[in-house]
Amino acid sequence: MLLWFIVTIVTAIACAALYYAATRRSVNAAADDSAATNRHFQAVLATIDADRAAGKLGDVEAEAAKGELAREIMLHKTENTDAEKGILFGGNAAFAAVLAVGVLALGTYQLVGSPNMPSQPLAGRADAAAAIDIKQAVARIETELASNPDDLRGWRVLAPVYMQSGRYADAAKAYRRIVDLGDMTANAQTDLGEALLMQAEGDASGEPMELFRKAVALDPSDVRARFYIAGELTRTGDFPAAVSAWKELLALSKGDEPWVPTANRGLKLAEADGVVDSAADTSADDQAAMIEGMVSGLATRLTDQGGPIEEWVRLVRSYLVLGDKQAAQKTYDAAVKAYPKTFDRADLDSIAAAGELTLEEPSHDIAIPNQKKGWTRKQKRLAVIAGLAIVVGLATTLVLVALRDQIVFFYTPSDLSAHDVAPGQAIRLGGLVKDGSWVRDGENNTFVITDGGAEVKADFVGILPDLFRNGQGVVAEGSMTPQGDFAATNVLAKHDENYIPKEIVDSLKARGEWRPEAGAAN
Amino acid sequence: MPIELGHFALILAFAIASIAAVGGFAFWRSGERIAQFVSQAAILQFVLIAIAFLALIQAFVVSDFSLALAAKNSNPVIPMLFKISGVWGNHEGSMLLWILILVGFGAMVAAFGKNLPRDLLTLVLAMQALLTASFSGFTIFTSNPFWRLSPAPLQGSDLNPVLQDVGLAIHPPLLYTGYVGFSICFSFAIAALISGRIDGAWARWVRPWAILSWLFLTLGIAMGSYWAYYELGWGGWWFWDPVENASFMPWLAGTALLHSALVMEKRNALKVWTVFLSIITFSLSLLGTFLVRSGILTSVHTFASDPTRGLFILALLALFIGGAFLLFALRVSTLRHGGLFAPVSREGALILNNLFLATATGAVLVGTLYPLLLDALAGVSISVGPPFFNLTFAVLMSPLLIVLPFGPLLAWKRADVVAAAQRLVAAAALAMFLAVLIAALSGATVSMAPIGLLLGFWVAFGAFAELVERGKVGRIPPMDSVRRLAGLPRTTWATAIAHFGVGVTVLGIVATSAWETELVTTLNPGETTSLASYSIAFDSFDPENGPGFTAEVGTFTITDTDGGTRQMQAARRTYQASGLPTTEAAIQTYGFSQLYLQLGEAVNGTHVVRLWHKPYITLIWIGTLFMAFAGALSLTDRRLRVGAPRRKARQVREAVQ
Repeated sequence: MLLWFIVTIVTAIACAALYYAATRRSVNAAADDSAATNRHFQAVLATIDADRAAGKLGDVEAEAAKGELAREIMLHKTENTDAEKGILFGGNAAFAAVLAVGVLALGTYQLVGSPNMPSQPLAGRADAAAAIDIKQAVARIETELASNPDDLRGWRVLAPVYMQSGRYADAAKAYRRIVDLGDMTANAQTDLGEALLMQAEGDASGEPMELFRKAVALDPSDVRARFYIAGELTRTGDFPAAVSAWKELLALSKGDEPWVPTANRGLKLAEADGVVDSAADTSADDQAAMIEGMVSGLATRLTDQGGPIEEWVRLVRSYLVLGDKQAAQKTYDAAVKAYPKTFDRADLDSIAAAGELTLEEPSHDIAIPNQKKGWTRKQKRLAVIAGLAIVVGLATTLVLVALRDQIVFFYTPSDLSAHDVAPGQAIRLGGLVKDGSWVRDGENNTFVITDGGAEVKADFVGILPDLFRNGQGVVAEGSMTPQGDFAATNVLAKHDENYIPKEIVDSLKARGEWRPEAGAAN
Repeated sequence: MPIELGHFALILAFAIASIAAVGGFAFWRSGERIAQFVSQAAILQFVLIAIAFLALIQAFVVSDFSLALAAKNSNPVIPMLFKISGVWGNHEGSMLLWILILVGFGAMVAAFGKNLPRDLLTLVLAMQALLTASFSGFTIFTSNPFWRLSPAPLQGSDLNPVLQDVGLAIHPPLLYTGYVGFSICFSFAIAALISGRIDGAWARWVRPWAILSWLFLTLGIAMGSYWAYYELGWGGWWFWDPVENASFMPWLAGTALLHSALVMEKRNALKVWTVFLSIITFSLSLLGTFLVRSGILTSVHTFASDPTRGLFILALLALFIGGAFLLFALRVSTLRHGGLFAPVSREGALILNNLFLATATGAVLVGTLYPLLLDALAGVSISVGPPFFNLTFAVLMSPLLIVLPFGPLLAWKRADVVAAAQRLVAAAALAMFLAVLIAALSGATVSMAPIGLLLGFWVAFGAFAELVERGKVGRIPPMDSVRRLAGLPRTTWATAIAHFGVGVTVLGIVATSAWETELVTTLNPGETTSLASYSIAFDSFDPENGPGFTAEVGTFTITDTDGGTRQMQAARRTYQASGLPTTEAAIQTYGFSQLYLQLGEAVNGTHVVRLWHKPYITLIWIGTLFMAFAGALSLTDRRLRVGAPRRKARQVREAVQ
């Protein structure tokens, strides 16, 4: 509300200033229009006089110059009296104008503004403050615990925070402290065991296993501890024990807990008893199931809320890995809708092209502003016209010759076989750096440029751009050697997220529907 | 709230500009009241856009990420300077800067234009308002810098690391001031065509604006060139990149405009041509904006491309350029011709100047647009690179440089070329002597270099021939000469200094192109290499932390021929927020020459360094500083000053009495 109030005041002030400027009484509507022009003529007259005084003009020339000036003044006067006065811009017109200003401004703001959004400077933001507060709180509890290590409540708060932030060693220390302080529940044992397990990167042998067993002894219904025990037994290959552990675990289930499918798979694996094939199958199934789970979660979220282009890329890639081309195509189309700018989608497009999806056609309908040239000056002096014609003619010839000899064609590796490119002729070669092909030996670099169809080996001496990488799009300037390699004199790579040489983007798009016989001409 | 107020200020400015444009064109004949109205509107537009711009800066300074622009282009950890310059380090913000400068010029015309004929003032400001309305409309509806994000993210993605440099604070404002300043000349041309009023007085009003814009454009291009030179790490100072050409074409046309406006002011000739150049110069500025902003070209200047933006800008371009040329075609016959002169005269020399500059502009235009046209029409992807531009440009500029020193020595109307040549004998002899001497010392190989040097020295020395002549140096006692020189109009000095600057730049270009040496080698800490009589030792390679980035810094010690040592540091930075790497080149200046070192990524503990010795390269930029200074100097010449009509009038009266 306050904003609308201020906005209205600002508009009113601006309109009042405009209205006042146009209608105030002090305006002398009959002010002499040509006063300024007269001052110019006075200045010219003064220059002529000064030049004569300085001896740069003879008396005769000065008189002639003054005569010419007088003619010009006469002409100006006659023209000026000819000028008719237009319709008057009075109070009513001014009022209508300021009214239009107010309506246009307030209406447009209503249309595009966000009047209800407050400013949110970082320093004053509650969510930022909360984010900082957790860190501060942790630090405060840590210092308190350092002086008072027997504070069970402090450790209980701290330990899960450590776990969440991945500080497993600290978490293990905190949980051990909780156990040492007399918490002998099954839960405390399992927590400590879990922290140690995470610290050992999944290896539960030794102390964690003992803790889990102790927890199960204390509380036979501790699903978490039983789960870890069964998993560890399977991992270490003790299949008979594992089978019974999984069975005991599954006996605790009511049937629809989230851990049941995993436990069932574990049981199947343990029952298969080291048969590699079926185990591999299971784990492959497992993997596919996991990917599917992840994919459907991601897909739901992206369709509902949108997301960064990287997540779209990941989703499309996942579908392609799963072999679901139809879903990949659908996701790609949705991503294109979310990111209509081709530059944002370079990675996406290249993946989609590699997966033989139908690519969004780039908008190539570039029109060039019409330049009007060829206007001829009405100059009386033939010499000037002749000079003009000669210079322009020579320049045109020069430009045409230079264009014929100096333009550099852009090729992809596949083009090279179709076109006869003479060794030594300057060209630009674009494509992807073939994965793993980049070899550096001091200042000498070799890499292979590929467009999916053909490959060309390229050499470059010097320092490659910061973002030059295997698998990335590049444009290299240089020429072919007689041996059929490409000697690059300059290499352009993706400069940052927004800057990819246009040819790379185009060639990546072309790759999806590449027809070697058609060449670049289409 | 400040953000929304800024947003509203932008919209209000758009509304005022729209109404002022409509009112101005509808009522331009009705004299004082409408002139007051559009003047007031021009000043309000400036105040409002300035408020909008300040609101953006404020949001960036306090890291308000509810502003989408700040969330995309800022970060709390970067230094304050980059937070502020980050405002225009993106498409939307740079458009607002463009508009701010546009309305700034409009407000200046309104403030200083009290002595302009009313109808001319109204038309000029109406045209400026039309430009403001169009471009602020474009900004509001297709690239609004005030879009909000809800909920606001906690972190901003970083400002592009390449832009985290003091260059971003300087280069765009200077360049835009140059680009946009020519809009005033454009508006004057349109006003002249509509009102049919065009005379020497018109040129007198246009010329200061042309000089002001030209001097900023000169500085902007030079600054951009130096920034690219040290930041991009490619070791070059000019790439004939389409975006560079986009700024260079208005410069060439603007330079031609400066000179033809001179003829028009003094001699009332070349009217049609001057009007045409005013239109073409700003059209090229607009074309540059279109090329850079539409995403047709890819370069470091393309922030993000969006087809709707491209189409919108193309439509604006068609409206302004097409409309201007249509008006020109319809109205050009009403402009009177005047001022007869002989081919050999100052007018003739200036026409020659214009001819070559215009042709060079045309050549650059062809080279820049030809690949785009060919791609659009035939689908063939080509590039027109430096060889094309170097060849055509050198051939077109050489005759211009040869005749340049003659220009100021020729009299108006009819001149004696032999007399002028006699006054240039000393400069020619000196230039010849130095060029031969340097060529001989550097090993007298057959190349274009001595000819280039000769041209550079000829222009640089010849620039002072007019001063020598008018100061009667050597013919009267030295003190009298000094007095005469001090009494010369500042424009005379400005001419000499600007032309001298051209010579200096030519010398820098020739020297660095001909005698640059380069070395690519592996070098590890503790090892030493040498280049062009300097020995370079790689001392150490250390990690370092900066604001928002981590770096690996190589420290080098250079020993020159006299045994003096200097240190320099090259770095590879990795920016935390974006994860992008940049290369920071090390540059050490010896006199006018520079050593330039680029440090490559370490592979298996081995470093590759690329070293250049660039003799006299700084002359390139020093020359442009001379040119810009000359522009400023000539602006201070009382005879050109725009803001002091009464004083000027009084002095004229005194002079007449």
